[in-house]
Amino acid sequence: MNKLNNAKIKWIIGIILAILVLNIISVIIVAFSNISYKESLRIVFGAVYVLFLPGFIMSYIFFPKTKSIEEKIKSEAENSKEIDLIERIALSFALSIAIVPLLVFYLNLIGVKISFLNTFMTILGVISISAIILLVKNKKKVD
Amino acid sequence: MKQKIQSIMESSFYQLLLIYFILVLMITFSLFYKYTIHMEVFALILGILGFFIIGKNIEEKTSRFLENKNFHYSLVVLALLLIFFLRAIPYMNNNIPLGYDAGIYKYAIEHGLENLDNWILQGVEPGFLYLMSVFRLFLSTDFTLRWLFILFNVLLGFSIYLVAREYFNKTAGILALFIYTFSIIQFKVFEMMYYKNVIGLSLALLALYFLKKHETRKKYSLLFFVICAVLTAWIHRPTFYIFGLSYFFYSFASPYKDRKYQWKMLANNILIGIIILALASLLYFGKFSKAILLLIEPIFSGFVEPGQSSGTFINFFTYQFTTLVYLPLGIIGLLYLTKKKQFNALFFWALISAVIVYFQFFFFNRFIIFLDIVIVILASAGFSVILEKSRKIGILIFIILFISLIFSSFSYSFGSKPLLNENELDTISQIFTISENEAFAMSTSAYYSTWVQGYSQRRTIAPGLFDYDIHNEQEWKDFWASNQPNLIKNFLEDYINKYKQPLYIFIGERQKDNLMSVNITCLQQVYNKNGNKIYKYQC
Repeated sequence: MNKLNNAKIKWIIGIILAILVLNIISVIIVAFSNISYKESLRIVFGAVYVLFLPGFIMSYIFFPKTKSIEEKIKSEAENSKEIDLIERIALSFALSIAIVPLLVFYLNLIGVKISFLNTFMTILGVISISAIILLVKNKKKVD
Repeated sequence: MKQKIQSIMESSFYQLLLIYFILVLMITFSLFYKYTIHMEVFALILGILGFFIIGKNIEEKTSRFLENKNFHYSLVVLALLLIFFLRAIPYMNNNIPLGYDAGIYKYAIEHGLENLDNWILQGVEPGFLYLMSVFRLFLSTDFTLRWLFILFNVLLGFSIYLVAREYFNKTAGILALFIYTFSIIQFKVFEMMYYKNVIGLSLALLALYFLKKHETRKKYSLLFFVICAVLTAWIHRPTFYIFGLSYFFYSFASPYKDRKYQWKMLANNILIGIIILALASLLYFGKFSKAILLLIEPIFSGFVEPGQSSGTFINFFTYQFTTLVYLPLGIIGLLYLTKKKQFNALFFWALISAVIVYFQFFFFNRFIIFLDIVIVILASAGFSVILEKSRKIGILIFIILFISLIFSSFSYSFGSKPLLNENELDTISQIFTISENEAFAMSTSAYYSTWVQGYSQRRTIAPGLFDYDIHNEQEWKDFWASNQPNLIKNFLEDYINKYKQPLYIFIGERQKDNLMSVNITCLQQVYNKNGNKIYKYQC
């Protein structure tokens, strides 16, 4: 139970830290360019939302654990479901680039217009479904 | 006797290697002219001599200092930051995207999917259009063209690191990442804005990474391999072409293990290949089928008549002299794979791209990009071989290699400029303000054509490009050379008769203005900024 709470706290701190870092990047962009803070926020958060987040959450469905680069060699022979941080980041980008446009493509084929709202909701759908699968998987594990 | 020859070859190799790298360093600082002697032959001889120093499997060997998690991650982050900063340098005090293709991409991002012009259907892959249609909703086109492209270059760095790490070892991963960071050839790819190429390469390399993982029966690797391969096909056809050929040969070579041929494995490989092709074909179904059908003929004629369709990039001669610093290491890396009988997809990628480039088959200059990527990865393996054999010489070469790479890449980056200045781009953008909605924009010079297409926001007529040009090459040549009002009038009138809309002709400061001296009643200058003009033609 204690372990579970610790993991939750770790996740919450991680999310807060990520939002803070993205905010700092937005401020840096404002300082070095002629765009407004609002525009900068849209660019930074938009890029992460489209390019990284869907793949990042989905990567946890396939590979639930992140191991350090030192651990990697030791357990390579095992058919483990673990990847290291660098692999996870690369996989997050690749999966996002794969899933989002493909979904937009197929939705467009059945007549869904490519608009900001539709695309935003599509990505939100991917993230939510992935998060639900993750939660269910974790709950099963705990039980 | 055999051992004696081996030791003579080994010591000759190290001596020549030192001389070679000292010469490379002198070339870097312009103390020695690179074309004075045949350095490319020297590099080749060194690479071949390197065959004699290949010892143990480098996969089992990793530098101890790189085992440290924090140090390893710091180096990766440092390299990724350097990729970003090197490519951000040309954008300090400059808002104009680099490269000739910037205008084409601007149009493709903003109107590609909406208009689906014929040239878009033939030239731009659907995957790229759909990917950009998503980005467009969240990011500005300017950001997508400049900064997002840099981020995709960083992603390519990630892929190179992962592939080198997976096929060789962690030291090779870090080395390959740093060589890519400072590679002038790869900077040139960025400078020429080969957007689809960069995304395609990132995905193809990730596919190779998962293919290698699949060999060790890692879970889900096959699924991710297929996804990345299909996406490569959806986003960049030439990358898929080289990837597909590499996989094809790999499929037949990989079942041969321990002097036995595993037919079941071959059947599996073929099945996976068919699945990839089938899924990729589904994504080109309908309107986009043109993109595949129209490519078949030039590919085959490229094999029958080599040397014809080169593609726009540097030639092989320039390539050899630009990569002197890691060329011999790349050859050692390739020989390492051969000696260890590791005929994997990376090996075939190197071989096929080298054959296409050397024998000048279809698009041969553009395939230098693929050749360079694999040379970068193999150079990291070649370097690992030297490090494993002689640590002292390895470190010395490492220092010289990176001094040379850093110096040349930063010099190149600081000298990198956009092809147009602000006045030229402003004038092109003015076409949108001063013209009617249904009007046509016209570029009479190939130099400006893509920019007029992207920045005028009007249907564009350009010599030999896009959908609205109705004249052949000879007619354009006559038009450019002419000062006769009648010939120019008839030439422009052809467009008015066909499209029944006014023409706005852009004449930039870098081209000859043959409209200025002729007196045609329907032609008037409507804008002029520092020698960049817009003429309106309407009768």
